[in-house]
Formats: sequence, structure tokens, C-alpha cells
Amino acid sequence: MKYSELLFLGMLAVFAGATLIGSIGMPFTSGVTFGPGFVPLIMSVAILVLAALIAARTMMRRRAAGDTVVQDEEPAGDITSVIFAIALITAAVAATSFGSLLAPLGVCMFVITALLLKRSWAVAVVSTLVTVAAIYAIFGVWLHIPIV
Amino acid sequence: MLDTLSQLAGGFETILTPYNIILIFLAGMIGTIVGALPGLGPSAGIALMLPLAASMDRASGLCLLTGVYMGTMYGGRITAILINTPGDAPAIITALDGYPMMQRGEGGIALGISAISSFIGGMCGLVVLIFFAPIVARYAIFLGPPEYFLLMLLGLSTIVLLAGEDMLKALIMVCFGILVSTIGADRISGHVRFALMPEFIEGIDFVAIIIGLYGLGEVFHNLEQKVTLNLGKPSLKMSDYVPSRAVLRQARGPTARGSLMGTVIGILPGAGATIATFLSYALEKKLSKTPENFGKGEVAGLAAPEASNNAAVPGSLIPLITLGIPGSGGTAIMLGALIMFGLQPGPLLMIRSGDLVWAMIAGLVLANIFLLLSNILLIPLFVNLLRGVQGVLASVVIALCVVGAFSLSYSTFNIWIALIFGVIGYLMRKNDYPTGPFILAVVLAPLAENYFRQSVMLGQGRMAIFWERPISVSIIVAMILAVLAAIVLRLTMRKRMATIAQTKGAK
Repeated sequence: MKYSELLFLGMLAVFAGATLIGSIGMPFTSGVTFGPGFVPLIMSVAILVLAALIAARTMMRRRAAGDTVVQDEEPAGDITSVIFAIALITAAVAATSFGSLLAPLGVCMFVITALLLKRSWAVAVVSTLVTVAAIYAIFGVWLHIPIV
Repeated sequence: MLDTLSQLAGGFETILTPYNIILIFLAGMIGTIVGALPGLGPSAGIALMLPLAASMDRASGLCLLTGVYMGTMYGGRITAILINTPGDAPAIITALDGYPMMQRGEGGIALGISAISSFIGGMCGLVVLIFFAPIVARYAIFLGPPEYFLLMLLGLSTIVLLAGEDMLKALIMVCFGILVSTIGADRISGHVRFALMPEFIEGIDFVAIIIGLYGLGEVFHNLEQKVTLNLGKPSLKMSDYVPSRAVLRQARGPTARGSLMGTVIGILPGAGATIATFLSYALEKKLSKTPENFGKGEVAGLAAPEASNNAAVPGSLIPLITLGIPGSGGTAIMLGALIMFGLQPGPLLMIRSGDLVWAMIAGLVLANIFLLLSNILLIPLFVNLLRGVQGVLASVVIALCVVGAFSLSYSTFNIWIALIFGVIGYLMRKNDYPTGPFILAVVLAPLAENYFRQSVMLGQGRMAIFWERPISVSIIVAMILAVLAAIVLRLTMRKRMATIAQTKGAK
């Protein structure tokens, strides 16, 4: 099983576990019909069971193929770009607390274009400015959305 | 029928003035642009035009709003096909085959097929609206919560066809989608579920989920795999954008079937267009001789859902006009607009204000024609724009997704939701977990749960209410047949693939 799939199933299991605990306190029935806890409880249990089945099936297939080591098949370098992009977007969104959405987004775009997409600094600057200007014109000026 | 035609002619007489013709054309263009932007859809488009419409006479104002509504349906396909970022739930199916066509350099053709199929679907829906609205409304009132619940279940049953190779993965995604949809205030009891912050009380906006799952998720995947688009240099060669006769012939049957399905199912309040597009896709995949090509740029997989999506627009206006029941966010705002103009939607609307209603319908017909022409003419612009930015597409898409998510509620909350689902979408893509069943569950599950609990209440706690009603029984039978057919199809395909593999091995 890939590390990424283990991570994904783990996230699903944690989410389902949390909702299972939360739904236990909700009414399962309500008068003559089902209550607000009915669907979340059943789905939480279903996700936990299905996640366990998928993990078990993958382990059994690996054992049948003679390889029981859990490993990722992609080289780590490919994932670095993704993590970096996620971190950049997170930082840009966090920076909107200083008042502007466009400015940190522009910086984020420039860094992604220059460092991750490996375009020249001139291309990065021009593409960022043109995109930001277009977004401002459409969303800010025409649609009056407060993005600046 | 003659009476209907003469009333429609009266409607055309009202709107065929230079002012109204230009207004309808511009409304369609505005709707197309708004619909193309991630985060904005029919609801946003109509809401934006409301202040402008209020300052006009009623016929012109209604034409403006319905033209924008129709335009957003056309526009939502553009980002779905070109950058795999559907603007609304029905556009998800468009992206399934439209985006792979773009990836192999046929983005213009995909947009052309989309425009033509959308036009035919829209016209089909309009014919039903014009001739059958009162009749349809008369029978629609026989559908109650049990029938609506079973129809939602029928929609969910299409996961069998969207599941891909692995049913377990599809099932866990459906359960995940249903669980995500339970976050927020319960519609029946008002009990707030899993609201860690006040923003969760209204639930998670599914548009933010779509932006993250498909837009950001695709960008992250492309960054990891170092995918570079090679769409060639900008060109104005029309053969790059206009589908050939052979392609149009391929799309003929799916478009016709999609139009019928969209018209009939679009009448259902709540998720008519979404269910219609998913069912259209499922039907075409079942009928196709090459179902394994679906999801890889199959013409039928694009034409049918496009036709059904636009056929559902006039269909969704039928319950609004005849019963005063809005079927979607867009029609809910239309309801507000009708009231703003001093009209009362319901059974008496067509009697008391028939001239206005027919003017609105005539405006829709004209808008549909203008949208076909403008969309076909704009295709080179959209595709060449994409060719111009293909080298920096990732950062442009990220910017559009972030701003689109922000525009949903003018706060960063939906940006965080989009980002979280972007990571989830990336992990799903990396590990072959299908997104279709997940998003279908997110959209349909709240309605299904609502109708299910209402049905059980109606039946005084007895489940027999689902099989005591003739329409419910018909839907149950249809569902069983659909699931069985899908399972048989799967087993047949597996056998066929195994036989082919054996034959190749023997050679």
C-alpha cells in the first residue's frame, strides 16, 4: 500500500471516528422517524469498516505477491512541489488577515510560476500582473467583490 | 395547441424590439462569463443582475434574468472542459470527458460539441415548457417525499457506473460524501451537527468542495507529475473548433436522449439538473459499444450530459411558474425576482400575467439561439487564451480557485475548505479513488435524507410507504433493473477482457 493511500485512509478513519463520537450523543430516532444521528452514525461505522477492508485487502494482495513492505512508489522529490504549493497557498490565505486577498495571492502566484513551474522571472512577473489585473477587473470592479 | 402558439407569438411580439434583443444578447454573454468563473454560477449571476432588472420594465427585466440563467449554464462548461474546474455540480460530468479531450488538443471541438448539444437540449426543454407545462404540473403534484427519495436513490445508484474498477473504493467515497453532507444544521429537527465553528452551521458549500476537489486537486497532481500541456500555438483555423460531420453524427443520438432525460428529470425540485446529467452519462455508457472509452474523451460522454443539463433549465422553470416551487438556487432567486415584479408564482400566474410569462419564455428561446452563436464564435478566444497561458496554467488556476472560493461568502472560510478538499482531491487522484460518487453523494444525500425522514413520518414509522404507492414501485423496479444491468455489464466486460488477454497470451 502506498504511503499516500495509508495517509488518505488514515484521514478518513480519523474523520469517521470523530463523527462517530459526535453522533453518539445525537438522537437516533425522533418520534416516528429517524433522528439527526441516524445517517452520521451509520456512515461513520461504514467508513471505518470499509477503510479496514481496503487496508486488509491490500495487505493480503501484497502477501500473495510476496512483498509485505509498505512503501511509496513515487520518488520523494515529486511530492515536495505539492507540499510547497500547499504551504504557499496556506501562507497567502493566512496573510489576507492583513486586509488584502490579491496582494498575497499575487506573491504566491509569482513564487509558484518562478520556482515550481520554472519560468523566467520576467514571465513570472508579467503573467502574475496580467492575471491579478484581470481578476481585479472582473471580480473587484465589475462584480464588486471586496478582494483588495 | 393553437392557443399556446398564439400566446407564444404574443410573447415574441413583446420582446422583438431592438432594446430587448440587445438586452437578451448581452444577458447571455454576461451569464456565460459569470458561469465560466469558478465559484459563481446561476444563483450568483441572477443575483448580480437583480438590481439592474428592477430598474427595467417587467418583460425586459425577466428576459435579462432568464438570459443570464441560461448563459451561466453554457459558461459553466468552459472551465470544466478547459481547466477541469466545474462551476457547478452538473458540470462535473462535463469535465469527465471534456477535459481529456482538451488534454489531447481537442478543447475547441469539446466546446463546440458542448455548445451544440446544449442548444438542442435547451430547445427540447423549451418545447416541453411551452406545450406541456400545465399538464406536467398537474402530474408533478402526485410526486411526494417517497417518490423524491427514491429518485435521489436512483441518482445515487449510478455510482455503480461511475465506480471504475474498484467498487470498495467507490463505496467508501459515497459514504464519505454522505458524511460530509451531514455537517451543519439538520433540516428536519434543526439540530446542529459537527459545527466546530459558527461557519459550519450552514454546512459546507459544495461549490467550495468542487473548486478544491477538481481545481486545486488537479493542479497539485499536475505539479507532482510535472505535467505540461502542449496545446500548440494560438490559431484561428476553424476546423480546430467546429466539430466535423462525423463527430456531430456520433453526438446525435446521445444529444437526443440527453435532451429528453434532462427535460423530464429537470422538473424535479432540488437536484434535477445534477441527476439528469449523471443519469444521461450512465445511460450512454450502458448503450455504448465502447464503454471503456468513457472518461477518456468520448463524444457521447460529453454530448448527452450537456444536452440534459441545458434541457433541465426550462424544466426547472415549470414547477416555479406553475406551482410556485423553486427547484434550485437559481430558480429560488427567480422566485424572488417574480415577487419583486409584483407577480405571484403559482397556478394563477399564467392566467393573471400570461403575457409576461410568455414574453419570458420567448426571451429564453431567443437567448438560447444567441448563446449557440456567441459560444461557437467565442470558442477560438477561449482556447487561444488557454494556449497563451498554458505555461503558467497552474498559478492562474490557483488564483481563480482562491478568488472563486472567496466570492462564495466573502470570507476566507471557503478558501480553507477548497484547500482541504484540494489536498483530498490530490490524494484521491493519486490513489485512484473516484471523485464522481463522492460529489454525487454530497449533492444528493441531504435531499435524500430529508425526503426519507419525511416519508417515514408520513408513513407513521412504517417503511411500507415506499412500496404501497404505484409511482414508488415503478422507481424501485427501475433502480433494481439499472443496478442489475450495470453489474451484468461489468461481469461481461471483465469476461471479455480476460478472453482478449488469454488470446493475446496464446499468440
